[in-house]
Amino acid sequence: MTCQAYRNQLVSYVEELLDAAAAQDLEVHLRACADCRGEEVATRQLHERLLQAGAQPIRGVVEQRVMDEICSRRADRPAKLSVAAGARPSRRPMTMLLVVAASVAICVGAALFAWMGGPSDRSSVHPAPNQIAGLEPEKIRQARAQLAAALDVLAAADGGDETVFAQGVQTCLSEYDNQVAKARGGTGPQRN
Amino acid sequence: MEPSDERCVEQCLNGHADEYRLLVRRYERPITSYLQSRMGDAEAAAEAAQEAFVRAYFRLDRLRRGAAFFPWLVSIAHRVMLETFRRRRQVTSLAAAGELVAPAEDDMQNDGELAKAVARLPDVYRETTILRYFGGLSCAEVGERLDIPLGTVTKRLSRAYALLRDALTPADKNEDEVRR
Repeated sequence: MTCQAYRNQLVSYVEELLDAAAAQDLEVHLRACADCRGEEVATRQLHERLLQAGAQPIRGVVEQRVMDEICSRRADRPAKLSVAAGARPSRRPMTMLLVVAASVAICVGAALFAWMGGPSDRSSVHPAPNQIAGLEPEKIRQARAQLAAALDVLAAADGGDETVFAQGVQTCLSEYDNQVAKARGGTGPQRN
Repeated sequence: MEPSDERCVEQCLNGHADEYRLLVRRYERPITSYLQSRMGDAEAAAEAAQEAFVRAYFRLDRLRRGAAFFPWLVSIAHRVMLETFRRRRQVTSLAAAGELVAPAEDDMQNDGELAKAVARLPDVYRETTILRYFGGLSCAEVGERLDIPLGTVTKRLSRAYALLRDALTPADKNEDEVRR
């Protein structure tokens, strides 16, 4: 066997994986070959160093921490899509409600603006409040009712965005009521 | 008989998250021990290991079918560790008065030089070395874990030893210092 062939066995030797015959053969060679003996010493030193590096006691175990963290992060995701029984409602339904409320608010706001008269048609004859912007009176009332209902829900919410939006809805409703009152009292937009 | 890594990954991807516990149990020792040796801080190593496992879980769908879980996990752990080092450097640079100085990587009482050299090994040698020495497995157990014969384990370790010795020689250290 060549020196290289013996050296290839050194890791198995220090790991005590060589069978008795192969180990004895290697030891005979090591006694006779200074270079290979030097290799054996270096291999054993590195082996000990690796064992020592890996032998540090590790602090605790991460298994439960990992599983807890996974559960926690997984819980974050489905929570947005479903509401567990007895749990605090997630914010997703609120977001949808905001979208609906915003749509209604825009619709009512646009109607009010048209009713009050935009810059381009300020001189035109405006319809009565119950006939504004081509919307039927019933739809106007429904829109207002929806806004009011949205406001009730928003008032119970504890989120900053919802509160700000609620204030916007309240302003919109107040403006609508004011304009209707003015129109009924003859103080609304002047008709030509 | 315990299910293979690949089987566990499949189960996790099919919605059986608890199967991941087995993978964590199987590899927490080698990963944490390796990170601890590299980082020199037991608590930081445990946190990095935890983050690596959690990240791996949420990215399991990116693991190529048939690809080995452990070397992939090691690469994630390595990235987490580097991120930790970067954060430490930022903290250190911010702590001008020295009141909030994170321990420097090289100042810790550990064989960081060896751990760095292990980190630079090619994947197959690195995973074998980590499992054997940082995971506390016997060579036979490493073979079972990686599904390779014992002879392949020792051949890989022999090659890893050669590469580590090259990396740890004083000549290389001097060259590193010149480069710095």
